[in-house]
Order: sequence, then C-alpha cells, then structure tokens
Amino acid sequence: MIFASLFDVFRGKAVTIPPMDGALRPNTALDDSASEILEVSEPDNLCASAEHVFYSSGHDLMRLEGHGEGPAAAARFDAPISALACSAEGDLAVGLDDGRVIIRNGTAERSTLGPADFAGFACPTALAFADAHTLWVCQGSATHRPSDWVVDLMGKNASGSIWRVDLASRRCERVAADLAFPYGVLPDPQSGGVLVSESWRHRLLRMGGGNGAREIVLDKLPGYPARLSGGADGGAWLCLFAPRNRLIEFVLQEDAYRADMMRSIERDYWIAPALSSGAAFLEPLQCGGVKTMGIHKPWSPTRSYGLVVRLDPNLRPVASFHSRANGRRHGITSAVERDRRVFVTSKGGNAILSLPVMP
Amino acid sequence: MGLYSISKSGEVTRLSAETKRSWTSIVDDARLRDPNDCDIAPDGRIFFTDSTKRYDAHEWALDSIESRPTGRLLCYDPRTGKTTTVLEELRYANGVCMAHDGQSLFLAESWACSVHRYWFDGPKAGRLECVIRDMPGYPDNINRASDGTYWMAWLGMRTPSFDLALRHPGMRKRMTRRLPQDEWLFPNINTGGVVKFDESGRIVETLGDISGVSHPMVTSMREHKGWLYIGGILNNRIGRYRIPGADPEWTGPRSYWGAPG
Repeated sequence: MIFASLFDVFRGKAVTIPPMDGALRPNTALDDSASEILEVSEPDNLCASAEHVFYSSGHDLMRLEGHGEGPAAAARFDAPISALACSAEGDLAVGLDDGRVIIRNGTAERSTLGPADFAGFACPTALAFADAHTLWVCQGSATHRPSDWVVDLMGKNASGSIWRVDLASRRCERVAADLAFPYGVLPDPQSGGVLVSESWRHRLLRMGGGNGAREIVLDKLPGYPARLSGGADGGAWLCLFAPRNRLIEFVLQEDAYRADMMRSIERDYWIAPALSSGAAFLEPLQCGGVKTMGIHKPWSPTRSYGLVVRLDPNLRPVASFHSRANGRRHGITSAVERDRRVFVTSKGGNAILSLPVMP
Repeated sequence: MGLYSISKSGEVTRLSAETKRSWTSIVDDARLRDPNDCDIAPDGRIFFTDSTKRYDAHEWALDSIESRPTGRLLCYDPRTGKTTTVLEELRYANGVCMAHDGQSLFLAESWACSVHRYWFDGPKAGRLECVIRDMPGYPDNINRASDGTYWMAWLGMRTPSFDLALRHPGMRKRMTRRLPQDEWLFPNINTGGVVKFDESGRIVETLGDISGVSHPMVTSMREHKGWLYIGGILNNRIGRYRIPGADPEWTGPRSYWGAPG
C-alpha cells in the first residue's frame, strides 16, 4: 500500500469517492415505496407553515391541499423561484433566480431584498427563518445564478456565502464566505447558529453560533447535498440532488478537457452531475451504464440519482431513501416532514412524493 | 477466434484463424482477435473483417477509447486455403457486404463513422472510396436490401463529450489509469437503429431506437421475405419489422446465388 502510492507520480492517483454504505446503503424506496402525490414540472423547494405546505415549480408558488385535492396556486413571480421558507408566524420568504428575496404575508408583500443588500450579487439557493425577524439566506455563488449551478460547479468556484438578515432593520450580515455552493440551511436553536450544506465540498457545516466557530458536522457524503429541513424527532432531513461520480471527479481535475467542454458543448451534454439523465442520446455514457440483456444496471455509474437521508438529533445518518441509476425519481432537492410523513420533491423526476416516517 | 464454416448437417470446420504477420509489428499480429463480419464473393472468396488487433471480441467496446486504426479487411481463398490481408489501418473494421455488381464490397469503419466501397475485381480493382463519411452514429454490419439498396446496423450515437475526448488523448490515457473500467467514458451505445443507403452512399431511410428501450445497440439486421430482423449482441431480444412494399419472396441467399436448383 505504502509503496504503491510512490508510483502515483507516474501513473496517476486513483480517483475514488465515498461508498454508499451503512445508513446510506442503496434501496429502491423512492421508486417503490414512495407514493406519488403529484406530477409537477420540476418541483423544487417545499416548505411548511403551521397550516400549509408550499412548493415552488418554475415561476409558480403552489400550495398543497388536503387529501385528494389538487394543488392551489398561491402566487406567480416574474422570475423562477430558487428558494422558499415559511416562518412560524406565516410569513413566506421567496428567493428568485434573478437574486431578489421577497418577504410576504398572505398576499401582502412586506419587503424585497435585492443584490444590493448582499454585496452586489445574489444567488439565493436556500432560506430559513430563525424567528419572526431573522432570515438566514444561502447565497450559492458570487458569480452565477441558482439556475447556472452546473457552471459554478464545473468552474470549481467557492464564492458562496451565508447571510443573517434582520428583517426589521433590513440589515444583512455576512456570517460566512468562500463556501462552495451552500445549498441548504437549517437554524439550530441551541447555538443560535445554522447547519449549512456545502454542496461542492459534499459536507454539512455548523456555523454562526455564539462562539463564531465553523465546524464540520458530516463530510465525505456520496452526493451533492441540497436542502435541509427539521425532523419531528429533533433530527433533520437532508436531500442530495445528484450523486458523486468518479468520472466527473476526474474531469474536475482535467483542466484542459473541462475548459474545452464548457466552451464548446451544450450544458446538458457535459460530463457533469444532473437532476435527471438518460433521456437524450447526446448525453455522455459510462461503460457500466451500457444496457445489457435489456437491463440498465442499478449500480451503474450515473449523473443523476435520488437520495434523501434522515439524520438523527446528533446529525448522524440513520436511514436513507434511494432512486438508483435505473430509477426515475432523481434530483431530490427538498423534503419536509409533516404528520408522520415526509414530502419530497423530485425535481429531475417531475414529481412530489410522500413517504411514511418510521418512529 | 477465426473464420468457420458450418455445413447443412451442422458440422463446423475452421477455415482460418490467422493472416500474414506484418513486418513492423513487435507483437505477433497474425492471429485474429475480433473477426466481425464476412461475405462471400461470386467466385467463392470470403472477405471478412478483423476489427482490432488490440482487443478480444468480448472487450470490443474498449477499442473505441483508443480509436487506433488497427482493423483489417482479410480475404480467405478456398482454392488455396490461405488468408491474406487486403486492407489495413482501419478504425474498427466492421460490416462487410457484397455490392450488387459482384465486383465490389461495402465496408464499415465504426470509430471513423464511415462506410467505404472497395473493388476487389473488375476495371476498378484495388480501389477504395469513402461513400459515407462523418455519420452521427457508429456503423456496424451491412446487408443487402430487396430494392437494390443496403441495410446498415447502427450501434450507437456519437456524443459531444466523447468526440471531445478523442481530441484529448492524454485525458483518455489518464482516465484509463485512474478510474476502474466501469467508470470510463464510452460512446453512447445505449441507443441504436438501422440505416438504409443506396449504391452512392446516400442515406434513404433511418429506423431508430433513440431512447434505447426496445433495441439499444443494434449490431446486425437481415431482410428476409418482407421482414427486417434486428439484433444486438448485448440484447436479449430479436426484433422484427414489416418493411412497407418489400418483395415478400426476397431472400438473401437467392439474391446472391439465384433460385435453388
């Protein structure tokens, strides 16, 4: 082992990724056990107030109604919605792809924050209320919009930041910078800080608490983490919107090829993570993904995957729900627990799913 | 691996398993590693391809990552029992089919996405012409069609990322050293179809399974009595397609050798 690494200089070091093991062992729960409660075009961010569950889909803010009824339109915006949050008091924070963050109550718009409030550029990827007057904002990048996330990832950027906004005074305070696409935020009432998913570095961080320290809570995740939400047991739900893939990690180290790819190839056909894959014949294919005897192997390397992880109150993974390479419910971007069920958006699979929560 | 004949009673005879070794090769390249398609000329000579000198048949797709021109067109002459190398330096020599003129054959070069016509007899003997170049997919086996044109299996599609990788040989080399084989970038062989082209190389019809649900990676097809039969070496199925307006009596052997008796 020790001597083998001496040859890495000549033959190159093997590119490896963390395995899906332990609580992350693959299953087919998202495809087989989850019930599809709604077929929606690219549902993105779920959030729950005391009375309602909201979700975003493109420009539309929608409200999930009770049993058996279709969704109701709550609002429509002039830019795609990139993030959502509800406060306990019923306020709604809506992040838009053009950088605005709008705070509303019912149909009344209370205030709008723009890029000027966030040091010139805003990329709201996730929002969370700590209390009625405090909003946490994840800015994924200082140069790309939320919808341009793949450019930010393949450009190896780390310009994201975390902001604490005092809604009464409109004061925006940057709590952390130089993050590689923060894509989920969950307030931690004990420390007064937040739990943040740093997507391009595949880890969860805790920050913004009283002592000002930044702490790694969970790292070496086998996918790219997205939104976080609280669990009824004091734990959390973590969505991973795409899997890590050894070829993609290799391409991230191949600067000349990657630069050529980003310059000359349409984005959908890059060797890059995706919310869904396999629909277009111009997409890249890896050896293990070749269909054999009519079977697309579930273990095959893939650019898209479905994965929701349940974290216990100590933020250790205890259970996970998967849609594997041959599944359809890929690109899970958010989850929200309510009445012993967890609702999940499959942005790549165009569906909102519901899973029972085991005690 | 080699060229075999099967008699009507099911008796298998090996005709050839090697050709002449090339002068410049350090490795013995006389042995056939990936014989792929064959066809019989009117005088009984058998023209066949050996796709690559570098991989065995079950590893054929790995040859795409190198895309080196090591394929050959070979000819077995039953009068002498000898096999000779007719053409060399082909990027995965694949389908072979006698043209209707009996003096030339069509030859698919998979990784070059091209189809060539080679004259082995007549006034143009020895000439090689490219009739289809720069296809958006990879050609495989070629067979005669009842209307005087030709069917060609199409084993997969080019992808922009794989085409770009071909322009970055260093990247491909490092990829094969640093990643396990299942992770390697491949051409998109999860899709496929059949293309029909005429004598001049003009494509007259395309049947595709772009999504690759029913027939991914079509590697061979054959017209028989008004139907087109479709197969792929990694598939667990054989497809059948009713060809509109095709002669219901037409068969391949009759097209080559006339009515029996």
